[in-house]
Amino acid sequence: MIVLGISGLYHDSAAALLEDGKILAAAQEERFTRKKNDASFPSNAIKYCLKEKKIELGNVDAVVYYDNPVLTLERFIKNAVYCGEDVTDLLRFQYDNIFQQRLMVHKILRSEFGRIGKEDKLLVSNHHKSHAASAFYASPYKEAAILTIDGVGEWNTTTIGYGKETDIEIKKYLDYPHSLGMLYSAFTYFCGFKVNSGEYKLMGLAPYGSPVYYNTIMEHLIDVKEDGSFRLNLEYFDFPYGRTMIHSTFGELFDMERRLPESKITIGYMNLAASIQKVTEEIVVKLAATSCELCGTRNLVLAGGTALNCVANGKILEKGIVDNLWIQPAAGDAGGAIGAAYIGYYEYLGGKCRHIEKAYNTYLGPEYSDGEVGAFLKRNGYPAIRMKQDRADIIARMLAKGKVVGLFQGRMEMGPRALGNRSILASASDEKMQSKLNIKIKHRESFRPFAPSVLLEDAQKYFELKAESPYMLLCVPVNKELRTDFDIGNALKQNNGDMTKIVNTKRSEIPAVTHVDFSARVQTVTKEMNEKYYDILKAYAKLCGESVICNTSFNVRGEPIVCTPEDAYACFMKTDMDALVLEDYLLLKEDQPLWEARKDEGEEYELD
Amino acid sequence: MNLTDQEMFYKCLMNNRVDGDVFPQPNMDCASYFNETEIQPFLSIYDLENINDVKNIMDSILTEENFAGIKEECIKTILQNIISYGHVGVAEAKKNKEVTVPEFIYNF
Repeated sequence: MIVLGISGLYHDSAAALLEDGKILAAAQEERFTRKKNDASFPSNAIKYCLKEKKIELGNVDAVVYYDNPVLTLERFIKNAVYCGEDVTDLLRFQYDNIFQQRLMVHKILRSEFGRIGKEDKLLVSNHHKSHAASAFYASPYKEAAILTIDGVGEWNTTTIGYGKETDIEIKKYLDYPHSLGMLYSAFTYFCGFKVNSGEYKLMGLAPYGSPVYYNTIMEHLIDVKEDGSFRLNLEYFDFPYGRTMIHSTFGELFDMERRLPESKITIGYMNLAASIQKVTEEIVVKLAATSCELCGTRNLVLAGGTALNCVANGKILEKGIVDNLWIQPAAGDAGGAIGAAYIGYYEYLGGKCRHIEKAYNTYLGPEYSDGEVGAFLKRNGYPAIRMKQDRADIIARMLAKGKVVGLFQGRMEMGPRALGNRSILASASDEKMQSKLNIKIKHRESFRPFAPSVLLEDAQKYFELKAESPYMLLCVPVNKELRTDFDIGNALKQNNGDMTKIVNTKRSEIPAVTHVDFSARVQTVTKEMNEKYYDILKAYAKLCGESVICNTSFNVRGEPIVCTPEDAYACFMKTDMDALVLEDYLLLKEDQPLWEARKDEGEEYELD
Repeated sequence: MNLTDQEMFYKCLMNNRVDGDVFPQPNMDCASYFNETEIQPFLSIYDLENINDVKNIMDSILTEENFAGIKEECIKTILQNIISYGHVGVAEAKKNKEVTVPEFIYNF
């Protein structure tokens, strides 16, 4: 049985194709349209998925949308009632999204693809059920507690469910407007970052500050119960009105004004970031404990946008609440497409085939053969060297020499993390590398940390890691013996709170991937998960004696991760990357013809 | 009288005004804010028996004359989607397969 899952029309549209319980293909629309977090109908992603299986939409057994738009309309109406006199304005504001798009998915599909599956009928899942399915059915567990947390989906903001074999049951939930995701986004907005994409920047900013506003948040903004359930004090939030995230009282509470985007980040915003991060971690840990207790299991799976908060995820392990933790790598709305496909198979079609794999494959996107890459290079006259058996050694030697290498190989990752197939690699031991990568390569804020990839068998040499972290979704401390005596509080004091002056200060023996609080967002690499990437790390370890390198996504600020060889080459040429590996071809910057960006490429990406 | 969340919503819709808090507020006295799940098919939430019930709800929300278009669109899309989508309920999809779609919806 073949099922197509679709998500989106709010943010991060995507599609996924499943056959007999196994995801065959999945991709985010943004990768094809080159518009970050693209919310438009995922036509390109659907076409890619269908092409992968060589099937027409009319021949699939079921097509499932990840979210029930009728329930979302119900929420919009109730929200409009709450807003009183603004009912009509609010509905006008939401009119296009709900009436022209989300409620019209079946019409859009018919118009673009003809028939909607064999029965010409669109099925719908529920938003959080889709998240839950994406986490449980993809996990390596026969039984698990399921925790989903995000901004909002239909009515729900948080759910606790129980999964066993081929069944999922949602046991408890919290409803809009009481949302941990919205609370975190409110602080994201107040600190001058973009809602729905800047949350990870706030998380990266948090270690620079102290949680001095923790009590203020807990006393005024949110009431949290022992079981992790919570309610927001709506006096401080404006998001129900659809205008901004926060009310003017929000700033008054902290005696601060909203930071203007791109302006200097002062200590107050660092402290705010640290405070909301601490609140979030506490709530997530309590919810995780409640989930396991309620379900009578110590296996826990996570999904929903908040599950991308890798620092909070790391706390769940640190507190010893669970024996096993698994997080869907596409935890946000894009992963809803995967969940919708699973729901179609297990719930609508009564599928019984469950693929319980130790290593869930998240490399589900397009790939390009060596022949296709060769033809691309020849067509454009780009000089390249064909690597053979020595491929991993050549890449390792360049990294050892401090070169920055773009790596494009195999199938593209599904989800926000680049895990070795669409990655930019560099040495982790160079203390200037964080700054170099941020400013010269990624064109982004200098304070932002980079993540390490490490051979699983050597991970504990570097990190206090209690579990595998194959999808870069756990943040853990760097081992104490590797750290310097760096202290973020003192460093900020000595530099008058100017964080830009301390990013190059050495914090450990692997400074490029050690954040200012000595934490690191680790990717453990195994041969089973990604053999070609494993070989590069292995060759690097043989050459340098270190089995950890710096891995960041192959893109610049505001740009989606590269999808095609064309995208990769353009990104390579627009930045200070030294070399590009396209499958088995090596391209050196100094060999390339002068890059004149085409008109459409010359436009800057919208800042994220 | 303690109204359930859904009852309060229904009342708000019919009266087109906020009678008390639409959304629940923090309550220091309770031990948990979690809701238990239950199956609430869309049709039963609104107690829709005929097309006038739907029109009444929308009339009460969208009172301005210039929103007549939205009103019509709103009713149409809700009803058409109840037919077009695979299920209309809140929770367990497979359990909702038995939900019957009233005849009036097909004739709208």
